[in-house]
Amino acid sequence: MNDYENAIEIKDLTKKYDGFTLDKVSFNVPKGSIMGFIGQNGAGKTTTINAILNIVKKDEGEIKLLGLDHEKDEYDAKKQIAAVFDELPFDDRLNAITIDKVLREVFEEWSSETFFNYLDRFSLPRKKKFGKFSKGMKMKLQIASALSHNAKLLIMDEATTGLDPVVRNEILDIFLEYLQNEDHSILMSSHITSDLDKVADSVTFIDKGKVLISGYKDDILYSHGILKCTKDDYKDIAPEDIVSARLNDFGAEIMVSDKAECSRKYSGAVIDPATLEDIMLFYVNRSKKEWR
Amino acid sequence: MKGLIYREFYLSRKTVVYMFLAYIIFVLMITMIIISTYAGNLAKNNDSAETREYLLSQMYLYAGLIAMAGCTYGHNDLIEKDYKSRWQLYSYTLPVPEKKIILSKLTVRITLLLSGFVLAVIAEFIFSAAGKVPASMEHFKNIFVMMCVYGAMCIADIPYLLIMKTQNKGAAFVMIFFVPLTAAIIYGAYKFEKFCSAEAARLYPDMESDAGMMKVAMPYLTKWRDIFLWAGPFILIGAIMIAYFWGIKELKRRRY
Repeated sequence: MNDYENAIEIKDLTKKYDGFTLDKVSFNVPKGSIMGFIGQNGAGKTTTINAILNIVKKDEGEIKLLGLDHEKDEYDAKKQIAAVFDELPFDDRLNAITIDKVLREVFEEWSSETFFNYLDRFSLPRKKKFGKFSKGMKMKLQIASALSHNAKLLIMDEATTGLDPVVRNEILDIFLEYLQNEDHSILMSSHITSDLDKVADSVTFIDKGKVLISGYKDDILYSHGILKCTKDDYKDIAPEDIVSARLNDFGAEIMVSDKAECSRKYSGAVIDPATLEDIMLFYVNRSKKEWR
Repeated sequence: MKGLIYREFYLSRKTVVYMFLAYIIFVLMITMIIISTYAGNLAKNNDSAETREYLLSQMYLYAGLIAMAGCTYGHNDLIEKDYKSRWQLYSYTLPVPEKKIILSKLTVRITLLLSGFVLAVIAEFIFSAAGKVPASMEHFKNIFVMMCVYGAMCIADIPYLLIMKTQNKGAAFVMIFFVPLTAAIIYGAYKFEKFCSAEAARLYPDMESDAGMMKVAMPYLTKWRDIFLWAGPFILIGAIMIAYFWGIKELKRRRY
């Protein structure tokens, strides 16, 4: 058994495509935690996840999974990893019994008992072909298969996108249960930030191929705030304190990255707590500085 | 790898079963017609012996083609479906190296091809038994050549489809080479027929033109068949080797 502090360690990950560059992405997913990986469409979330899984070859950088090099020790690492995508990657003509027969030969630690327990828990039929499953059923099946080989790391790419709130909630509960084991970790990419508000311990925010924020969610939420003021007061705010500002007819909402400092500096100003969605919105518009 | 092999067999099984049924129906029909040439309605015809001779000399080839193409057809479109269902992408997340993925595909394809070969041989036994003649070694040789040539194409199809992703694209691209090749073969066949016809008129003026032509052509056809009989296994093994290494290379390239 190898000892490791971080389930995922990414350092200066670079991947260049025509028109898009993943630019020196670095972040860590601490062991035993769930990290939300957020960003708008095309920000580089899937490319980063594909690079982690070695589905795409990185140009530069280092990636360690569970303390193992993601290329040299690829298959050792992948024995302990489960990937969940936004769509079920199993043929529509298969059913749960067949997929159990396939995956138990692929994963050394596959447990049919665990798999069928999850199926029962999710009320998923065993013999029904996947082609006849709803989107929610397909996602539950994918999660059941991901959690049945004693994976220590779960990597999910937009896994909750397109699901109704009831199913999403059910799935998030499963993740929290999975994290009860302190060896288990999750990297979860999503643009549904409310899900991450609920379950994430830490958050990495990526935009245009660059990591803008990475750290513990509570620290990020604690340090960021939305300063609300009139248009006249807005002129007095120092530009270095502003991430970006949303202007409206009545005044301005300004995202500040050091709430404590700003509340001291602009005493009397109202600074509301920011949500992950607010942070994402204001950071995405940071190049414009002012937006409506 | 066992799991991957199981999956490929499972997803190919329906087409294989349907084609197996087509094979059984075909073999049964031809068997009954052959029997009918001496013990049924066809026996009343004057040319019943000729009909039987014709069926025995040709139908084993069709049965072999149905058997071999039928067995492998179901597996042919699996790569396209794997791309569509995103299994191809998912397989990169499994602790399975590319060589095992290709080996599983080759194992299934070769097993299905060999099953088709066995069915083709069985058809020859059934037809000869129905015709009350011993099974022909020449026919077995022809079936073997057919398996080697068809098998080589069928196996090379694995890396080819990995590149092309869809059967439509693959078929369209292969046409670029297939059309001139077919034209060349047709032209060659036409020239050969003309040559045989002229030779038959010169050497066997008393024989019917078709019979004379066959007499001229047969030594050439047998010679070419014998060349293929020796070259066939090498072609097939070569195709397997190429498919293996090319397939691995393509799977690695797909990690773009």
